[in-house]
Amino acid sequence: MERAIRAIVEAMEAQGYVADRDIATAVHLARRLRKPLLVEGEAGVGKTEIAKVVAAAFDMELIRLQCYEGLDVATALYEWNYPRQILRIRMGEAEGASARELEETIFDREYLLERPLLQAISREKAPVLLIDEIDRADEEFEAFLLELLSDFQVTIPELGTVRARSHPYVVLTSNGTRELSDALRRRCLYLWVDYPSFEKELRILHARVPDLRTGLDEEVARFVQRLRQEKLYKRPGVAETLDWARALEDLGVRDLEPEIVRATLGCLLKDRHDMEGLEPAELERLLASALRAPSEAPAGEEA
Amino acid sequence: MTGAVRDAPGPPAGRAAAWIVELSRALRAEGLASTLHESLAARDALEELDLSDGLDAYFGLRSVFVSDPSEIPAFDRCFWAAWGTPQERVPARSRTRKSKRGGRSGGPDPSQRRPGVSVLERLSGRAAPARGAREGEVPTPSAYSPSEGLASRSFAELDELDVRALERVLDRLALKLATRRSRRTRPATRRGLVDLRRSLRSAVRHDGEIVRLARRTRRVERPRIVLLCDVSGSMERYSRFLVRFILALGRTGDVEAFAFSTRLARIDTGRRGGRVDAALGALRQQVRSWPGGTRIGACLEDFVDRFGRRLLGERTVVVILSDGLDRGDTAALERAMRSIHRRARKVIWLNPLLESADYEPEARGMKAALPFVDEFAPGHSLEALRDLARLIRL
Repeated sequence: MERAIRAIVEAMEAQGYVADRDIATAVHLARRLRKPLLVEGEAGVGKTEIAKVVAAAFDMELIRLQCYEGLDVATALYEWNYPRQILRIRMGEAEGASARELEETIFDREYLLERPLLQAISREKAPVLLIDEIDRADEEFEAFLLELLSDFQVTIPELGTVRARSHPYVVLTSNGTRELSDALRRRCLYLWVDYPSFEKELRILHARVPDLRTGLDEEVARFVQRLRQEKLYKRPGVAETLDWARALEDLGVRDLEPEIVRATLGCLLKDRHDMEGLEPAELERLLASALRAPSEAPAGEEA
Repeated sequence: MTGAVRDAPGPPAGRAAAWIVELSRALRAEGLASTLHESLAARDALEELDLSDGLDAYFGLRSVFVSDPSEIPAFDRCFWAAWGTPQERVPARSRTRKSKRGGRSGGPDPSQRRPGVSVLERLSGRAAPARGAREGEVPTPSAYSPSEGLASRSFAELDELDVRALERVLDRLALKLATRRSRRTRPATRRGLVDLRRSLRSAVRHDGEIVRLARRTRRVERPRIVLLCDVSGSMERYSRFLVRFILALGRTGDVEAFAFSTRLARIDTGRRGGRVDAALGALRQQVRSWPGGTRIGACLEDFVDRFGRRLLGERTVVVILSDGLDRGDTAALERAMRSIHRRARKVIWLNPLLESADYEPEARGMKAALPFVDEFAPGHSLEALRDLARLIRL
């Protein structure tokens, strides 16, 4: 394994993130090739975490842009500070300044409110720019982003062109609610994050919920792995596993009993149909089959 | 982690570029969009990686060439073939991602489907048959139910007046549903949110006095609808209503319609109903003279080749009405559906057979197409058409 990749695995692990080799390789290449990293996967598999952990591991600032439909330049890039501009205009009037002078004054960088994207390219030291859930933004925004990601400069009509002072490390995440354009996909390195394998999930549990009773950790991982094989509307992600483990730990649970699982199932299943669909007998059967077969744990990314 | 380090052949020393070109060509043959752009990135990537171990190169190049989880198996094959090590080295994937929206493509949740009386049933005078689980429920008539007189007469007996009545219902429905207010805004003069930016700009012209508040209001968005309608014999009862409905939608939006059975034909979506009727009639005549057997795959591929570039895009919702009974090549159907799904905003497949509770998409064609369908719905009744309008609203 490339030394740099091993270093990334270790640095991420030090932050409590269990990184597989595919994740570390993609992170490594994205840094070296200066390409944005597009991370896709089901909800709760730790896509957003990648950006956070990379920022923490390499001591970089994290700038986050949460996408939503209708996200526009004023929220993503910049906006003028209107109250200050109005105040300045009033003062200018009192001083008898001309319209031209006034215009030059109030459309200065000083009156500009920097939003995440502008912040990301104005920093002296390269930050991590996390563009979260890009699939929630619309095509107009995607097109705009594409331009920004290729040129790393933006043009503000009143001010001129702002060039990036440093090249931010860009991570985009997507849940696949909308198909992203080919142009955007091709601009990025691509990383698909799957649900973790049993072993990986166990390692994650150890890293994140270290006080979980030995034995219970395996039961938790096994049951979640088993549950993911069911036909569910919303399968539990790693985030749900961790929530559940913490809940069990708080309750002082020693072994997984059907009643306890049922009482805490809300940590894992977030859909009414899934909850109702899992009848007591069915739950018992699932639990029994999960705890029975320790050797052949259902595999995830790697077998 | 996988990977006992073995002596892996990898790209021959000094010939990395040629090796990448070969790999890229193999990937293209598998249907991946691999261009010079990717090859250049791959070359840069190899320079950053430790080539003694195939896995670094595997994961690295995968992030370069693959842009969708469905492409991973093909990449695995090509990469390890090029690398020259046996397939066992490939990290096993227990579960490839089903479809983009796998969870949802299984059709609407039966428990959420409201009971409604099929227009066709009402028109043909047949009582709604008891349907499995829904037995005993009282069907709620649709809010847009046509006059009672229509219900007792068979479809074939409808006179011009009845058809018009139904058309008016569909029109009203279409007009109400085909538009959607965008979250994006456009400049406006009187109503809407105050646009401080423009207000300030104009204030500068008036010595800093805000004379007039500029405003913005939400834009109205119209999807483009592309309708691909199976007009083979088995579908005729359904296609007639759907085509009418879609054309009614067309009065407010942007609609392109095609009919197919063994061949693909474009329907002239002129604004006047009469012309549409005539066009449809002519088309039916024409279709009857086509040799039997539906070739969905070939027709959809033809559509992609001839019209895809112009009609498919981010604003496009593709509606396919077909029972999925394909006599032709399912590989062609799969190729066409993949291409449509990638380029359109949403793909809706209406299959009237879905109306029956115990229907399973067993037809080979239907099975091949399903992974690329965002919404799978029956579209057999007025109620179902109303649902369709909701789906079309992006």
